Amino acid sequence: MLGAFAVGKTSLVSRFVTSMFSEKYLTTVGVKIDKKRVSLLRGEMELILWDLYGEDEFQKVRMSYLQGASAYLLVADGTRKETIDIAASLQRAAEAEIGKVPFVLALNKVDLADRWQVDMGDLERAGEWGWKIVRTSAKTGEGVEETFLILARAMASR
Amino acid sequence: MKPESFEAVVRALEIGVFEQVADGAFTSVAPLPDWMRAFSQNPTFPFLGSFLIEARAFWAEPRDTRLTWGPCSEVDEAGREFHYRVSALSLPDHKYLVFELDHHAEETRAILQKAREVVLQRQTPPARGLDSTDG
Repeated sequence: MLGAFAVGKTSLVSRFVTSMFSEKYLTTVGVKIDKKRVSLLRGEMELILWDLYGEDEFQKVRMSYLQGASAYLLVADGTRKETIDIAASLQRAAEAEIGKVPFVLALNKVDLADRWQVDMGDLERAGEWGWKIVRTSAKTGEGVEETFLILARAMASR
Repeated sequence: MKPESFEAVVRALEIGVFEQVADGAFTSVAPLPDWMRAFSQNPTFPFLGSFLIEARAFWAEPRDTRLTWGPCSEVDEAGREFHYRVSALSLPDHKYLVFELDHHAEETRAILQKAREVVLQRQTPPARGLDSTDG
């Protein structure tokens, strides 16, 4: 899980793993490790999820944490346009560290549509880069299962 | 040091000490503390991911006796989050992994939380239709 701080990385994992959501923002310190078994057409897969602390001026993400990762989920907050730029920067750094592995951009907080700041131009730009983008809401669960399953299927097919 | 003294020290420090054995798996060299019960029972520690990759490189060419990562966090069976750090130790003919609780992680979190809440308030637009001080 990669993204700026407070984009909802931990909330997405929590929704996916435990089906729970909390309105309270609680910043992640270091690496939060979770596991979840998913069923795919060819059998089961155990995902080990590394929820990394958010990137900001206080803490830079240590890219060596990505060593050994089979895929990554970039997360941006649709209500904060700057988080798209941070996701793009992290994607470039991730690719430089571990090469091309499957990834998806989760545009989170789609439930806050009245505060949405990300315009279609931003989305089209990311689409031109070949990014798979899913609109998600950790609060309602929209797109969450789908996002992790896209990653799991992409890993299984490699 | 007598084995029972070593075990008593490990127990008092609430640390988990594992030694890498020939097949790449790890075996505990002392009784594990209660907080480590939430951990995967897989002796290759796949959840450590990149830490193990870095640890193997460190053991192959140690520049120091210790390399530490973290904090990491997990949730125990009661739903409580706990933070820990992992260290690779390189001693003559032995490769150890040591797990220890990080009692300072919550202080770090409290500081970061306050700082990020201020930035977040600045970055997040108010909901439409709500009163706004800047009109």
